[in-house]
Amino acid sequence: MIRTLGLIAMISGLLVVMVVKYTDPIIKEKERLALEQAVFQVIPSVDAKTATRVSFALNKDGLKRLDEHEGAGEANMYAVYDDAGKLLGIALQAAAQGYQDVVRTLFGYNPDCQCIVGMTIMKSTDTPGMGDKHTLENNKAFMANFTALSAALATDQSKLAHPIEAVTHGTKTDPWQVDAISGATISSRAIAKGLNTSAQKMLPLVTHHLPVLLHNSHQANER
Amino acid sequence: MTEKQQIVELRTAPHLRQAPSVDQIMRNVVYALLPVCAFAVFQFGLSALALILVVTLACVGTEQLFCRLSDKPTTVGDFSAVITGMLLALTLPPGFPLWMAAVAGFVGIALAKVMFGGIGFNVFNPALVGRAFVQAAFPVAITTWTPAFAPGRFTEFIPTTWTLPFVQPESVSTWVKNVAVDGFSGATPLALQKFGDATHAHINIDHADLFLGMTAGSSGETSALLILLCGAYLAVRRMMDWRIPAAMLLGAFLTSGSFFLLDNQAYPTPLFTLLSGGMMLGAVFMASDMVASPTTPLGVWVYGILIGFMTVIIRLFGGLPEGVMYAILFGNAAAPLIGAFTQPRVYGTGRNKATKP
Amino acid sequence: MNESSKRSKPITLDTFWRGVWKENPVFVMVLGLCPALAVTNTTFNALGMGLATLFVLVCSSALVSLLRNVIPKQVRIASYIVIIATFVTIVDYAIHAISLELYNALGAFIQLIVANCVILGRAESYASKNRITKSVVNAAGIGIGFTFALLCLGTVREILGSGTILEYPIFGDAFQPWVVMVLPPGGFFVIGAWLLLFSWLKERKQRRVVQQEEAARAPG
Repeated sequence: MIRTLGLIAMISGLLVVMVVKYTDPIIKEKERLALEQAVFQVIPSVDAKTATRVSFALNKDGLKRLDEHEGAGEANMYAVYDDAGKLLGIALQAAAQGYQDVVRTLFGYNPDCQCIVGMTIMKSTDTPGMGDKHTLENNKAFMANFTALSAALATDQSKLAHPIEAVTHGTKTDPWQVDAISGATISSRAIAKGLNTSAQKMLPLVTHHLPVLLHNSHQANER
Repeated sequence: MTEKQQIVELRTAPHLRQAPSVDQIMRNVVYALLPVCAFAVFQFGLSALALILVVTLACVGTEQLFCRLSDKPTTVGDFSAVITGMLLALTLPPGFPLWMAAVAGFVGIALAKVMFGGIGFNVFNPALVGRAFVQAAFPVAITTWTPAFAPGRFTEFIPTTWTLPFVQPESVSTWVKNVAVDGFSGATPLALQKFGDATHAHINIDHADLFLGMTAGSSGETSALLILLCGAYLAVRRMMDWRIPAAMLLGAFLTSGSFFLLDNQAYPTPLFTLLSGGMMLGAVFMASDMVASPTTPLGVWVYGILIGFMTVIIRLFGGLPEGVMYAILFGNAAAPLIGAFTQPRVYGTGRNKATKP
Repeated sequence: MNESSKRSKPITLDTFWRGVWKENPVFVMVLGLCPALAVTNTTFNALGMGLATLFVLVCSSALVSLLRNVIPKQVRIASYIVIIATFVTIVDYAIHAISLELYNALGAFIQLIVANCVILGRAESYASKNRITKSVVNAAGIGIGFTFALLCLGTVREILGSGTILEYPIFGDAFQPWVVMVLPPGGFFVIGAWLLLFSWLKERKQRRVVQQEEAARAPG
């Protein structure tokens, strides 16, 4: 009895190992491409052919440059450089509770204008037709919020000067406000809240390490 | 003057009084709903009238269709489908496209009534099932509000009313800008309270306006006063169990009152909770649905308070501004259970022996 | 070998067709509703799920049938589950490699194929008692019937819920999508409507048979 079970388990194990061996590189490559596409999407004026993306792990302990194949899992920041090694922008992840589930986004930050220059939704299970990825990203007026959303730091560089917030449709007055979609207020708010939480936490760190980030790019080019 | 000689019927005791029949009750509910419908038409004009007519026709037609398909005698004559249609129309926004309203009527009757075996067998209130379906199917259209007392409401329709079937209704924002007198923002008092920027938005809304029904909202839900009067008529004529609305309003009042006492900045006043949205219409006409509510004396109180409590919880913590519909459907689902737990002791049996056969 | 002595019935068209129509897993046996309701919000997802299940069903039936005389009775369920889980894992990796989009859309429901009662039911009640070719043909029938049922659900839900078929718009921009149809309740509504249709067809057929019998009896 045990021998039979063992035999079946062995056949199974062998089959699974073979499939994993074969598909693993394909899956890794596809996921890398999907991520790269999203990262390039949130940073305008990127030439996808010549730009390079570098993953980093950034937290209070410091900035760590990650090798593409080893530490992709812990990456929480992506810097994009053009072919001359100039920093084009930084992509960061954000998440906040939406209507159904957590809405995950990726946004692009430009250190020159200290503003958010692009946003794409990685995952949203909110009501289809109102708060899903497709509907939100096709709403041009809403996406226009994220082409120059102010994320300037306060003078002590520990938090944002003005928290990013969503306001009722049609009442946006300041560059750090997000004009919500009428009918999808909760999803709009979740996006703004996610951006705010992530920006409050990450942007002071990014600013602190900015010289290194600019410098690192040249190393990347030399290699 | 021979007519003076009226025959006075005198009988000796015992005086037996026949219980009102089903269609007698239903007809009285229709009478009670007529003033509410009239006010809806007065407030929102031709669109509300068309909405009420179309939904009622859709409900009656669906009932007739299924009676014929299943070779049963028609049950249209008992007025219950008419009530479902009127109630459903009253909970929809006045500019709701008529084809969607007809879908709501069809689904309400077909899914919640006919499938369960017709009148007397429905587990859920058919009008609310119909509304829940269109709420899930057309979330944008059902949250598009138009201002009350628009000038010219008796000569022209709200543009979305005559949307062609299967076609998306156009935006009413330009139309609203043209007709709105005092800067209507496209939101009901409840939506303002939930999504408004000013945390004190609910304080700005006049309670008297809410009570009389001078605000935007679903076509027949706005006037608390009128609904209470019509409910009182039914209660006095014993066509409705007054304890259910009373218990529901009590439950909502207590729940929202305790939240208000906890933090009077973040939560609306209990009075606002009672007067806004579909609370009154739901309490008086929907929660008291005879079939879908418990029958035991204690059970109706438990049932009503549960619905009131759930309404406030959904309103304050749910994703939607309004919670009456889902709270009543929830109460309907719990009704058999409540009934089972609140069985009165059979007369003559001991307290301890009651459970033993 | 008990079945050679019994002279098992030969493979007929019925072996295959039974699973597609007469014993359709979703519409007749009402099995495997979890994936049938959960991932049929678009035709593409329904097709992906159906084909994945078809693959697991055919492969596991083949292997179970091959090993049916080796597997001791006491541990047969455990063995079936291991075999099914193997093929589910293979499908999981394959879909991940073929289409990231489909993989994300189907989510945990690919792994949940392992708990699909249709597959275990085939292994227990058919593959463990029949020769490999017959088992495979029968499993293919059931798998295609399952895919067919999922497609029935998926197309209706996609047409009403998004106004498209395989993401190709068929109604134009003005179409009002019925959002509820791509939400979980829509799955219940649509499967209810299909079950209604199928039982109505069945009843009508039975009635006709009865009528024919009566007509045949009447002259005699």
